[in-house]
This record gives sequence, C-alpha cells and structure tokens, in this order.
Amino acid sequence: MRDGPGARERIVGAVCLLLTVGIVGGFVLDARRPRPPFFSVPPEMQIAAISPEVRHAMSLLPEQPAPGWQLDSSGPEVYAGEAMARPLGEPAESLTEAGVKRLFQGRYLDREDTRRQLTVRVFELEGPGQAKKLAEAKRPRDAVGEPLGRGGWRGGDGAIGFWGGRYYTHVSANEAARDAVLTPQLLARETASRQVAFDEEAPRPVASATEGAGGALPSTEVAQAILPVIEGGTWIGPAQVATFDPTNLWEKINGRAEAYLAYDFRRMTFGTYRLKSKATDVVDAFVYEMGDATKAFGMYQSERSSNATPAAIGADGYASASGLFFCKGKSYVQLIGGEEAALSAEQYLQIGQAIASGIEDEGGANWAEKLLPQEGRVADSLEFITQDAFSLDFLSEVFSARYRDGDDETTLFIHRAADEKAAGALFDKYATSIETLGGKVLKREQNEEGAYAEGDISGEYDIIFWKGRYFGGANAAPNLEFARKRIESLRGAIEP
Amino acid sequence: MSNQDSNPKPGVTRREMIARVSGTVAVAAGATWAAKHLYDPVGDAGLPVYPPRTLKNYFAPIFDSYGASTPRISVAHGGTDAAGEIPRETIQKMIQAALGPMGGIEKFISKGDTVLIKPNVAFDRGPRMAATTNPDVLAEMIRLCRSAGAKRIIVADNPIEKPEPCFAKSRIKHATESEGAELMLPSNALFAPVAIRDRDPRPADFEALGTWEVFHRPLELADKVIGLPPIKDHNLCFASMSIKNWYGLLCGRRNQFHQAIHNIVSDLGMMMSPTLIVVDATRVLMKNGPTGGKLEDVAIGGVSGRPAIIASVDQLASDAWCCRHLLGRDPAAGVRYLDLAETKIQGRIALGRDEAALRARLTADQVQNKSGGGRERIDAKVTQILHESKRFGIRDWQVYQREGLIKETSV
Repeated sequence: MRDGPGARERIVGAVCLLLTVGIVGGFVLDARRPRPPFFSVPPEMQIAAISPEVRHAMSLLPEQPAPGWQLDSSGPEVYAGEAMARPLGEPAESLTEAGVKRLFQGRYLDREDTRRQLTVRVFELEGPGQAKKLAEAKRPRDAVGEPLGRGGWRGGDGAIGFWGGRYYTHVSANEAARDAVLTPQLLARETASRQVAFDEEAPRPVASATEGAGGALPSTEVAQAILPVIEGGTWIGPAQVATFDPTNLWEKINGRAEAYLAYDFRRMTFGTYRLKSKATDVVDAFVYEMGDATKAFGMYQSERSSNATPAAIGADGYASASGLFFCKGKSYVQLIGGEEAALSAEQYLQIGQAIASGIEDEGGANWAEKLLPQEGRVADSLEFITQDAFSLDFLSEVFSARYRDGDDETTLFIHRAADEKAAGALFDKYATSIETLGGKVLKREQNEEGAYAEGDISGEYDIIFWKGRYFGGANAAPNLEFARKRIESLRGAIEP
Repeated sequence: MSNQDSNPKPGVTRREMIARVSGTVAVAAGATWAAKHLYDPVGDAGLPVYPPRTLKNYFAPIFDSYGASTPRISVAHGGTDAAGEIPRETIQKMIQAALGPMGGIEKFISKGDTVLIKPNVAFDRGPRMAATTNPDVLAEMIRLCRSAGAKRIIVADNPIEKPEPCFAKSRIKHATESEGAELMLPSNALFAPVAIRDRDPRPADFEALGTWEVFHRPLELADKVIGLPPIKDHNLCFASMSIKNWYGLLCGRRNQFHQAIHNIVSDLGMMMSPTLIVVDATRVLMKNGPTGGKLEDVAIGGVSGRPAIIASVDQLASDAWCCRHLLGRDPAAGVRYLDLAETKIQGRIALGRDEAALRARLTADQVQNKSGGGRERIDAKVTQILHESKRFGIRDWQVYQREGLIKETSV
C-alpha cells in the first residue's frame, strides 16, 4: 500500500488548493459587485404587481401615441358595473343594458401644455354584435366615415368612434386640444392598431379562383353577387377578386382613398374581366359601395368627366374612351379598360349591365336635380359636398351647382335637413356666420313658410332661406339681382 | 536485485511539481481570464445599436462645378404626330434638348457611375393614363446614362400595390429590361431605417419624419440618382410632381402620413437631394389624381398642349414651375409643401455657409452637453452638414427666370 502524501505533495496540493480558492473566490467576489442583475425587473413593473384588468388596459391603450404626449399620471383606468358612470357622467344602467362589461379609459396629456387633453374610451362588450350596435347608437347624425376599425365615424366635433371585435372605441379631445398636433384621428389610429377588427361572421373559405386581399376575405357568393360571371361566354372572369374596406382602401388606390372616405366609403370590390377571344383585352372593375345612394352619386359626380358621353346604365352613367362609369343605389362602378384593350362601348356595357343587375336602387339619390333650376346652370357643375361646404364647418351634405349668364355668375346650394327645426337652425347659424366673417346682414324676414336673408361679405352676396325641411341659398354672388332670381326659382321648386 | 530496485519509492520530483503547478496555474488563469472577459452581465441589452443610415446628397459631387450661369431649369417642348402620339424620336430629342443647356448628360453622369433612376410606378395603370412615368421617357434616359458611361443602371420604386402588376402594366418593366437596365423590385431585405433627422419629428413645426424605413438598397448602391416623375393632380396635396415622387421610397405604414400630407412631402424634399430631375410632361393627369383612370383626364403637355421634358437641378423650383405651366395652377394657392420644403431645405443650405461658425457652434454644444467624441466627432459632423448643404432649393422659380436661369427650347 502506498504511503501517505509526502511533504512535497502536501505543498503542491496546498498551493493548488489555495490557487483554486483564490481564483474562484475572486471571481465570486467580483461578480457580487453591485450592478443590475440581468433578469431583474424593477419592483413596480413586476407582473405580479399589476392587476389583470390594468394589464388588459395597457394592451389596449397606446402608451406614448406621439412625441410629447403620454398617459396622465393615473395611468390606464378600468371601470366596471356602477363605476362606469363616474368617468362618463351618465347612468351606468344604459351601458350595462347595451352589454358593456368594462370600460378602459386613458387620458393623454401634452407635456408642453397639460391643459390639452385627449381621452380614449374602449368599451368591452359581449361580442361584435353588441359592439356594432353601440357604435351605431353613439354615431352622431353629422358624422362622416372614417377609415378605422369597422364602422368608423368622425363627428362634427372631431370625436372618433369605431368598433372592432368586442370593443367599441371612442376618442375625443377637449377644447384646449382642438388644434393640437395629436388629433383624435391619429390617436384613434394608434388605438385601432392594437385591436383585431373582427365581425360576427366567421370567415368563409375562399374559392381557388379568387384571391383575397384587404381586410375580410370575400366569400365566393359575395364576390359573385357583386362581380358576376358574364353570361354568353364572351368574358372570362372575374379573376383576382379583392375586397377593400376603409382601413385598407389606400392599399389599392393610395392617396385617392381619402376622397372616397369623405363620401362615407364602406367597401370596394375589385376584379378583372378578360375577353375570351383576346387575352390582352382586360377590364378592371371597381365597385365602390358608399354610405348611401346620394353619397355614391356625389362621389361619382366629383370624378365625372366634363362633356362625357351619357350611357344608359344605372341611375346615371357615362362612357369614356377607356371605360364606363355609373352609379346605382349605393354603388359607384368604374370599368377601366387595359392599355391595349380596344373595346367598344357595347362591350363595356355588357359588363356594366351584368354588374348593375345585382345592385338594388330605391332611387332618390340625386334628389336635388329637380329642385335646382336648369336655366343657366353650368354643365357638369352639379356636385354633392359631404362636409365643410363653402368652408363652413356646420354646413354638410349639400348639393351645389354653378349658374352663369354672361358675366353674371353664382353658386346655388340646397340641403335637406331632418325636419323644419333643423333647417331653421342651419339658417340661423349661417346668418350668424355672415357677421362673424365680417359681413353684414342686409335683410332678414320671416314668413309662414320659413325665413329669408341676404348678406354682404366684402362685396359678395350670400342669400339664404329655409322652407319646409330644406335649407338653401346662393353663395358669394357678385351680382345680387342675378342671385335673387335664381333663388326665386329654387324656392319655387320646393313644396312646403 | 535489491528491495529498493523492485519497489521504487513513490514521490514527486521537482520537475513534476513545477510542471503540475504551472499547468494548474495556467488552466486556472485561463479559466479566470475567460470567465472575466466572456461574462456578459447585460445580455442582449448590451448589443450594439447600429445607428440608422443617412442618405447621401447626390448632387454634392456636381455642386461646386455647377456654373453660376448654368440653367437651373431647362424645358424642351415637342410635338405629336398625325395620330396624336408622341414618337420615341421626339422624346429622345426633347430629353437631349432639355439637358443640353445644362451641360448634357455628361455633366451629371460619369464613367463607371451606378445610376438609380426613380420613376413613378405607383399604380397598375397603362402609360396613357399618365398615373405613372412614360416608359419611353425612361427608356431614353437609360440609353442616355449608358452613353455617358454609367456602369450600372438601376430602376426602382416601391408601389403601394403589388409591384409586379404595377411594373408590368405601366410598361416600366419592359422599358427597363429592353434597355438592359436592372429592375430592383422592393423587398424587406432591401429596406433599412434611415435617419431623415437626428431626433423625433416635431409635428408643430410641420415635420413628419425622424427615422423611417426606406427602400434603401438602390440608394446605397447609387452614385447618382435621377428622379423621373410625371405631373399629376393629387386630391390630397394638390399636385404630385418631383418631390412627391420620393414618397415611393418610403416603406412601412406610410398611409398614416396622408393626414399630414404637406408635412411628409416637404420632409421628402429635404431628405432627397437628387443629382438631376427629369420631369416627364409628355402626358399630364389633370384631374382625379393620383390614380386617374380616364383618358379624358389626361392632357398632352398639360395646359401647354405640347409634350415637354423639364430637366432641373432644383426640384423645388421645378415643381413650382410645373404646377403653374403644366397644371395651370398657382403653386402658392394649394401646394403648401413647397413653402415648407423651402424652409427645411434652406435650413440645411444655411448651415453650410460658414464653416467656422458651424464648427464653433458644434464645439460649444459638445461642451455644454458634455457629450464625448472630441474633435473627430465634430469634424465628422461638419463634413456631413457641409455635404448636405450643397444643393439648390428655392420655391420662387421667377427668381431663376429673372436671372436667365430658365431655358426653354422647342424641338
């Protein structure tokens, strides 16, 4: 048996042991120097310290939507049950009856001026159906479409509302923030990007012949109803069918999308037809569905070519060298031929009529046509203005047309209000605005039919009246007498 | 044999001890060194953050040699044939006539250059709809660049829609490939964040861009950049011309900028300083832009009635000129981004006017902010600012007219 370690071995061993202890100890001591541990989380941010409700609110509400803006010090707020009345100042019963389970609220302040404040309220409901109903109930009468979530709208006061999935979201600004850089629209976009805007319908499978794009995938039935197969075998298609909604219309038509959104755009279905006998002859079909028939007409009219060749299709239509354009019901249809397509007007009509046959039309889109005088009207000047007519923020959904006789010119307009009271209220606002703009009301009279006024703003005359539920007038007319005669015709055409 | 020989006494020799201790020390020292130097207390948080890229001033190489009396804008008007078409030969002559007074293409393109030509391929429309650049104009520009000795010519754009049908339907793809240039389609791998300004934008100052993802690869490769825009009505910003054409370099959710369109377009004017602008005014989309869709909305040469090509080294002045002379509109009435762009561009130009003052200011800032880097950093910053300042940018094209710096010819 081997003897125990010798003296030398003991020394070597001791030296090795000392070295090992020294190295390991030095490493350990160095590692214990104060520095933030890699996996540490500050106590206030530790998951366990935040309630599930607040975590949910944090996922819905943007933290810093724009440079200089942030949630106020109270952070995201969550209310449920009776407590929902507190931030809203209205009874919670109406909300709970509507199916609201919780309210998530975020108040955003501008660090440079904390008086400026925007508020986001996200209502959580039972499901998309309830969210949609609440959004529609909250939508103001003067709201116009806004490309956010589903059913997005923008009210006259700049507030934004939209629904998506089980949430209804409302974004508003206080008075001080009216001209702030962060607008309700921008904040609403940030908020919408955190939500999945699904609807009640389950997505349907897409047939192989179609290509889904944009928001919801189109079902085969929907696509065929809007862009039908043309009977007769002349045309192949539609192929490459895609659907776009307000959130992604820009992906198809870029900046032009804003023009459609202003007319309460709802959905666009796009597809391509190909001539069977010649593959290079293609027609792109765009079917824009707008908020109502008048808005569809308004959008169609805004893009109408002057001196266009009328086409007997839809409520109104015209042919161009490169296609066919018409409106019918709530739809505005564009058929645009490919660069090399040498197609006749009849060929475009063939497609157009197939599409038109599937569109319902209750008529009445262009209700102003029979009211605005024909005599002296400048051709193709009729237009429908959805908002801010003549730069007046209270004047929306107005038909206008220009009139000329020699050197005399004026613009007539007509708005159909909800009732006489609303028409009268608009009249009063307009009359007030004449003076606000530095003008003078020259004449104002009331009669059993309504009221009438004339004003002078810097040498140009405005004439306004209301009669029945209609409010109308002449804007910025250089010649008062000329404008008076036109107004006389307009008033005469309105039956009280 | 003795007992000593058959049972050697165990023990460690001095040599063995030295070897063993040395080995242990070496291993321990190595382990210690490795542990100390490989230990990463911060993990991913310690990864270096690469600064976003900045764009070159593609006009800077030409600026110093660009004569004071050389036209800033040069317009060549052409005509149509009996069928109302614009022949390819006419386009060729117009381009050459436009560039001639400015020194010809050789003034701008040198032998061995990599040239990026940026047309507008925004929509899948045919050329006659005038929503995209005329492919014949593009083809002629490619030829001209090649004749000047360009080694590589890239054509690129980032349409909103799917690129393939846009490039195909607009015939831009055909023009590019038939002339032997390289078509670079957008893809994520070719995008990169670019610092348009070195801080967050201030919306109150009409700024839109700080750092944004840009279709960077062709810009990175290019020695020279030629903008080749059409002239179009635009429902949001009143007119789409050469500055607006750079929108096609942006990536990401750029639609959000539609809400503040003049802010973003003016930022683009500041961001991009091209070598040359060649405006395609063969067909002008007068109405329902930027998409168009009806031939009735298109006018050959716009309000002038004659097809034209406009070459310019000042995209701001040329946009104002084109707005007036092609669209028939007063640029002051609706094209707000021109005013904003002038402020921003002139800001950059002004910074480079007095190098000594610039250097002094940067040094004082460095001291005040206690930021490191020393003289080297200041030198780099001065170089960058001087580089960015070498450009022209005035909105009032009539200033050039009064000084005889706008030339118009007919072919």
